[in-house]
Amino acid sequence: MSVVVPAAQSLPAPLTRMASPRRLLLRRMLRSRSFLIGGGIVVFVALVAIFAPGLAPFDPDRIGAGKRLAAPGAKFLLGTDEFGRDILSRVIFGARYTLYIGLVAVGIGLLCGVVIGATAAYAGGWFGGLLMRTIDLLYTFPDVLIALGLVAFLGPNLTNAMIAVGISAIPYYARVTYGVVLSERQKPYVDAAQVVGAGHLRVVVRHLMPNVLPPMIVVASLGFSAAVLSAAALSFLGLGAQPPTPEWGLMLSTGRNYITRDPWLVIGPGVAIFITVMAFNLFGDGVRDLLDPRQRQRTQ
Amino acid sequence: MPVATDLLDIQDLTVTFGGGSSRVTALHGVSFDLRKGETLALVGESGSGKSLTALSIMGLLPPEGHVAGGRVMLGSEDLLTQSRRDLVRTRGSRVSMVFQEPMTSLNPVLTVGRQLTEGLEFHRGATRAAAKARALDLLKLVGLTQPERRMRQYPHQLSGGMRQRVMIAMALACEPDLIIADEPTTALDVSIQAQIIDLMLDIKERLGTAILLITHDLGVVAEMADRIAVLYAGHVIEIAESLTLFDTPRHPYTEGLLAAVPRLDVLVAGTTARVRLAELPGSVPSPADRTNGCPFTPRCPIATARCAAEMPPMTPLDAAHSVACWERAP
Repeated sequence: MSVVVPAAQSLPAPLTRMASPRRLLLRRMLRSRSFLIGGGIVVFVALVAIFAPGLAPFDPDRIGAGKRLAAPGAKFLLGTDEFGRDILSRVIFGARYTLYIGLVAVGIGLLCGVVIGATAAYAGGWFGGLLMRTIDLLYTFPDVLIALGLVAFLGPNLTNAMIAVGISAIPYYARVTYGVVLSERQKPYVDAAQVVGAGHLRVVVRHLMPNVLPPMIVVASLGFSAAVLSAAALSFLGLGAQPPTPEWGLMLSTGRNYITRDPWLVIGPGVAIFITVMAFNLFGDGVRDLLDPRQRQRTQ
Repeated sequence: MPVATDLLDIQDLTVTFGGGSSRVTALHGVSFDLRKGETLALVGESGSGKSLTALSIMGLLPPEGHVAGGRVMLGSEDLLTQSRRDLVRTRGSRVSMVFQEPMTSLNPVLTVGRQLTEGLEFHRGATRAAAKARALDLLKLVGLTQPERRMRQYPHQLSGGMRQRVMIAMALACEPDLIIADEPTTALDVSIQAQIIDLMLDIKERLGTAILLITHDLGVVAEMADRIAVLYAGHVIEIAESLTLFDTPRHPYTEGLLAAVPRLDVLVAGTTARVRLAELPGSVPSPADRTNGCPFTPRCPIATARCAAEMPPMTPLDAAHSVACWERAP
């Protein structure tokens, strides 16, 4: 028997696996409760929207699927409305409209807001000042009011409501972008890029934007819930989706006539709006925690 | 006088800030020239206008700044009157710059490779593959190990010295005739400083690039510069060849500046009693309250009545040494 331990056996196992940035991010994601819960519900709502035809027990528009104003029960889990339509099916299909409205409205607001904010901050001077003062002027009005005015002007339907909600959010995105670009633009890497010979457009698109977008992701996910609420409000007022669209705001609006006797007409869509909005807010908070751990330590 | 070998010729560069009654002049007719392959050091205290001179050459003055007069001739072109389009073309390809803060002068969200190849792609129209090959060569040139790996890394994954090497590689990418180095070693450790200085000297030898070195560190100047221009409160007050200036400074400010440098040899060879560092009394006058006279008058040991009333012109003492002082070069 040999006393010498074979070299291969004495080699220590690799101490720690190198923590790659991706793995670190994953670990932080799993630790952030608001990100997990918010993100989970967001994914759930998205899946419901995508697979709505398979999930819904009835055709959402089928009149007389059951008795009119039937209370929740085994067949109609959330009851039926004044036309005997299954409320659960309508809520499920409503998720499609809600996510669609949110995406389009945030898309419009974010795109225009980022372009305006970045232009104003980068150009500076009287031009930037004028642009931002105009935005400030719009910012003084509540955005639902602006959306209302726009829908009144464009005509009440779902598409116009989405556009109006998007436009009314532009000042918000523009202001945030303005602030971020203003602080980024003073960093030496911007001068360094110009010194190498990058023109204005290139500096903004290639060098500034990658630094500006992470905070905008947070702002957009928080803005999403605001857009959903605004669109629901417009539909509630009869300026957005039109009957018989199974849109949550519109369902609330028609259901409110029965609110004392048959409250399930508003409970279904109301709870759906509440959960979706809360999920996007949690999700936005979670993303902010992930992207800016320092901010999180300060607030804790 | 512009000679055939002149690369950069700055004449009477005057830069002001603000307008109306709050207008201040930050550079008063700064003039100097730089020959091909030469290293000229601009030295002076904080606020003397060193960096402002560099930014004027690059056309990167802050929005409040305004070039009130003078010429910045690069070859036969005046950079101050160039169209914006030509200016963008000049930057990077003919004149380039290395900044003081390697920590913040690189874009934090772009890889080193991306930042290196960018200039090549738009100045030279290089394909991505060609630009990448050139970037690898550049990283080797500036002495970075594992260049392939560095290309994929982000600035925060590199040390300060490595980032400054990347900055130098970026500045060299399109083989400019002139590199402006604005305090290239100030933010680095002393041992890294030496490496960066060696690197810049080596590159200058190999590529024949002229360097305009901006610094307040006279040690760096002694290592690198062929000639030195001393700036005080927006005036060039003395220009001479490096050795001449260190041996026989003529302007009282230059004398004071050199006397204020801590010297290791004096400490070692000196007696037990510590030698007190010479200091210049007072401070640089604010650009807002300048007189017509020499700005150094309040701090000058040999000032006369004339100094307070009239700014002395740059007067040549010999072919390579000029000074602006009534007493030393009447």
